[in-house]
Amino acid sequence: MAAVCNCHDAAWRSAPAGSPVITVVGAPNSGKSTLFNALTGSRVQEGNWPGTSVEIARGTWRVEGHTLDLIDLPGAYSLEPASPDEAFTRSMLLDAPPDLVLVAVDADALGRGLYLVSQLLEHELRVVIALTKTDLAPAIDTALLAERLGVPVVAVDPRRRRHLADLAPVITATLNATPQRLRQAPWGGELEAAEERFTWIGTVVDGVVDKRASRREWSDRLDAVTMHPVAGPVVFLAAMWVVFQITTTVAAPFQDWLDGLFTGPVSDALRGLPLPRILEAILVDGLVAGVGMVLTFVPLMALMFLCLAVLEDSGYMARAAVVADRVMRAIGLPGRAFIPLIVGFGCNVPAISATRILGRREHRILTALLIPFASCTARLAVYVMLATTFFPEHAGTVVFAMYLISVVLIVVVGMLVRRLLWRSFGSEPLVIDLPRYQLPGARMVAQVTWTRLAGFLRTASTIIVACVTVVFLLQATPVGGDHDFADPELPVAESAYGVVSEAMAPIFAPAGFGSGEITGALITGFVAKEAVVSTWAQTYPDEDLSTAITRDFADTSGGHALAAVWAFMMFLLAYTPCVATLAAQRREIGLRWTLAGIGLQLGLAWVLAVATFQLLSVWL
Amino acid sequence: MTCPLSDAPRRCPLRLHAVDPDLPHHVRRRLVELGLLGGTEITLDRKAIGGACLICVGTTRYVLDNKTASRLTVAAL
Repeated sequence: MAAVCNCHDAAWRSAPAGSPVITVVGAPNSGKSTLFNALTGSRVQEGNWPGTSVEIARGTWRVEGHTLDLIDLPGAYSLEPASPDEAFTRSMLLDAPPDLVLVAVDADALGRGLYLVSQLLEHELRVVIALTKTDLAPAIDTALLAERLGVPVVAVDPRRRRHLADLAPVITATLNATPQRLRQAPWGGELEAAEERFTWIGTVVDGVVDKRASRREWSDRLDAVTMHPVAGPVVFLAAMWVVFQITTTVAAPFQDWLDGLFTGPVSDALRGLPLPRILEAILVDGLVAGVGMVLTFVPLMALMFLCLAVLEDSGYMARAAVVADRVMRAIGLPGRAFIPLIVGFGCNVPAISATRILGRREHRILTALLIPFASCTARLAVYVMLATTFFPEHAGTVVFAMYLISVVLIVVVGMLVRRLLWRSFGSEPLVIDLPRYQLPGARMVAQVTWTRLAGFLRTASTIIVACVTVVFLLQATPVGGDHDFADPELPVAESAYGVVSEAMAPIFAPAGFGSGEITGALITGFVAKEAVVSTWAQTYPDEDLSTAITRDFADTSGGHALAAVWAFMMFLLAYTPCVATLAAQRREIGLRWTLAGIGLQLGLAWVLAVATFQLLSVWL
Repeated sequence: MTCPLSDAPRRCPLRLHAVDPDLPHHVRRRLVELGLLGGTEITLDRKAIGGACLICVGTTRYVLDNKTASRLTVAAL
């Protein structure tokens, strides 16, 4: 990536040609992406924890009558790269320098932020400093700081969109100035150079920060609980349990209402239209039954994303990384690997990209192989449907259990793969900075929630519509008997879909769900897990889905329906998440490892499902 | 008198005396980037889960695992 991209590359430019290019850089969790979003109106992933942005975002910022081309680069503490994303940042800044570098410096960690600044000033660059999080930090004399650094310093509050206008005239003026090298690069080795830079930073900040300001006492007291050896893991598990309880219980009435809307008025309205029979069937039995069923999960997804956004913006996720460190250590991964893995519980695709924050290739490969076992929100929709059908009194707990199993699976598979392939891993140290706790901002939380929900809706409107259409066409195509294409009387078993599903069904007979109706959804689930529920909805068009599924699981499991449901959920958890994840894996770790991962996922999923059914059918 | 950071008294002003030169290069460099150099004033705020050390450097807070913290030598101020 670093070899082919530069700031002036027209291929991925969003502003008009000739627009000044400004790169936004800063240490991880300096508020860089929040600043970029505030200036461009974009929706880059943001959060109050290090390592949030690993993808590069580009947007336009209209300032005083002209357009600026802004690029948000991955966070870096310095210009000496320790991981591919940091190497990319260095390359973008120095190999083809932008017209201006806008550095986000966390006012609450001024010295650390100025280390990157000190290195930038050693090159011929136009630099402007945006001082972020000033509301959390001690008072800073920005005029004195700017005078000592020799570059403009503007205090902004991008979370609340305050003081952003103050940046515009400063940027315009700096763009008209000649780029200058304001510091001599220190002589000596890396350590001596760092000491010289920090000595200089000490001189710069002396008298600039109000040291009388109060310390962050309540934030510190909270850490005493959230990172306590006993209370820490309890708080972590309790937080996750509450998230799943909220998502399953609060979302239920909204889901019922949407279900009633799609199966009632929407379907009736379409049937009332003077449409050809085949088109009516595609719309009602295909799109409304399939996509409509997936859309009933929008409230659930929204609540899940909302809860996670609150946890992220509060600063809790960095503490969760500390709690999870020992688990990561058991796998041989650094504590930072927790970040892509926890992202994977939202969606596996960005999580695979987030492995770039890891320095060693072996760590990136292992983490990318483990991410598919992190239960994403697409799988949540299926768990919730099955849990509310088969375990109505304990749906939240069942879903929570699936997430716990997901964590155990990650740890066990990680340990096994490590022992098999990389015995010499050694344990990686944990060195992480803790952001201050803060009250989650409504705008920030809403924006993050909407960005993720929009991603779900995009999947629903593209891949799922495609899946639903293909499933409909296969279900409408007769392979025997006297039926025509799209005959409403055509039984699923006599359709092309039924033949394919039935051919696959015996593979799952030892797992208790060897019926074509149930296993057919696993084929479309390979494309995207959201398609599992929609495929079932199409398979049973004239029946209540819960009733039909209950009957089928009971029939195929020989009376052990609950054991078969657990086995099905285990298979769903462990098998290949979606084709988009495979594409991301191929990009990050190559085809060979991706294929190895598919083999691992399918093999493990089958073994787990069979073992679960065989064990649980003794009791359930 | 010096001692490993992991054994240092809590909430007492300390000066970072030395970082074990045998620590992996990328770890030493990350510590340097975070401002953890010889001579830096730090405080061990508390021990967290797994023996990890929660330290304060100015207004910034970091967590180091116990093994890494044991390879940083500090002296009481």
